[in-house]
Amino acid sequence: MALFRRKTKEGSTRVPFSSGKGGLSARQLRVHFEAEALPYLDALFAMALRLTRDERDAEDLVQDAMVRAYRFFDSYESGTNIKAWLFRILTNTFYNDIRKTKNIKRLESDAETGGHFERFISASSVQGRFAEDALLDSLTNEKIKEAIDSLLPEFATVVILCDVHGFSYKEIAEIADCPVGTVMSRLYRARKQLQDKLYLEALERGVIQPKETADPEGDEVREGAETTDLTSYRRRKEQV
Amino acid sequence: MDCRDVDKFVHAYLDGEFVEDDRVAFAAHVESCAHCRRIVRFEQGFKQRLRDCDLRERAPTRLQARIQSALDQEPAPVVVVSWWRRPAWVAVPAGMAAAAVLVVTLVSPQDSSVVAEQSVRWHRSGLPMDVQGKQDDEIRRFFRDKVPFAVKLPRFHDPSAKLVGARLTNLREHQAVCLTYLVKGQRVSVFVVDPQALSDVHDQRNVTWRGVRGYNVGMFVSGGTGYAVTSEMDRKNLVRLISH
Ligand SMILES: [Zn+2]
Repeated sequence: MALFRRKTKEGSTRVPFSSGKGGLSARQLRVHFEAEALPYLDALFAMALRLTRDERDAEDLVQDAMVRAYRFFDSYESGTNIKAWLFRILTNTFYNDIRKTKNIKRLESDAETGGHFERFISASSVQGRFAEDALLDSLTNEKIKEAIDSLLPEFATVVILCDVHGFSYKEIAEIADCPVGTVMSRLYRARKQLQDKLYLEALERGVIQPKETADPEGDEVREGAETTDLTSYRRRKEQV
Repeated sequence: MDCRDVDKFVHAYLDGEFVEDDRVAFAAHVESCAHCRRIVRFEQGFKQRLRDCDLRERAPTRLQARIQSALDQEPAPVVVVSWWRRPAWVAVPAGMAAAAVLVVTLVSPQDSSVVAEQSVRWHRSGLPMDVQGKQDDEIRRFFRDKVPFAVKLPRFHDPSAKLVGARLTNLREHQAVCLTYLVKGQRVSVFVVDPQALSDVHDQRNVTWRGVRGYNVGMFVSGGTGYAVTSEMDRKNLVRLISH
């Protein structure tokens, strides 16, 4: 929990909750905890559901996380971001407990060097970008959920924290316990994977048509995305 | 800023992570580049679509009640009155303190059976761990702020004993740490507890044994720390493991 013992804007360290309010009775602590934590029950459950993909498991996960949060409530500093703190406990609990027992695949490596993330861009996501409105219009909530559920939990986590719950990169880094550079890399890869899946899926369903008739330059795409992007862009420009 | 940067940082831009200078430079390029404008527009639309996707499922109403009753089972955080951190009002002359301990011993003579029962329940449940690792130091450090006593790890004389991990748990109103070891392929759980939880384990030298549902639980107090060792292992082998 050391990450949450961060400094305030003024540069002074906040007084830990336990020492600041040492006079609270057990009953008052419980009331205080419930008042602080329970408002995030829906948000935590939604996150747990995406991670576990099972309603019962999600309930168990949230309960386990809440109990742990309560146990460590003294290490939470009053006035800091309790939502991020709760999400951190939830995701930790998931990665440490549930994942092991359920044998869910894990991310092998963030494949990054010196904070720069990889430059791999697949052909379909580039195409997806240019299918634009047609692709976006074709997406149903169900399809999006399916696509998120098909991501590795590490990727699903950052996308949900960022796009659904609006956490900042710094907060996500604290929750996922990784550097901000890794958060950026994961977000990049996660969104690309989502776009890939959704684009291919929409093609399969026939709800969008491939804009580029063939993809002969698929190999070039891996080498330098912007070359291909510009090529296709120019080609499209000529058609207009 | 060039097209490559835009591709790389379009998310940071849209997620509002840019400082003002970078944001201005980014916007300037996008303004002058139709290609990047499309990218930004698409990524923005995609992000919006995710946000609109209603991924905020509501928790079932029963969940709150479940959590509250789970919290009822928990000891209150922080306000743990323990053997080691005696509140000021207990700081009485040595003789008086000893008398107080004696009272505790007399009113709860069956502590070891409760501890044995809970140890076996824990041991059987195979609940996941809060911290994993083979380094004693890591485990000790992890629990330093979390339990109101020093987690002194037992020293086994069998070199094949491997520490797998540990979990914070509780025994009645006492917080406790459960350590899991593997000894020749067999799991051994060790509760580290406030000796107050083992008030009927008087003898500092002898191990108090209890058999619970086929498991052996050996309990002893050593150096001001209480231990409960649980395993399927037979008693003879367990004795060999924990004796000095
Ligand atoms: Zn550009």
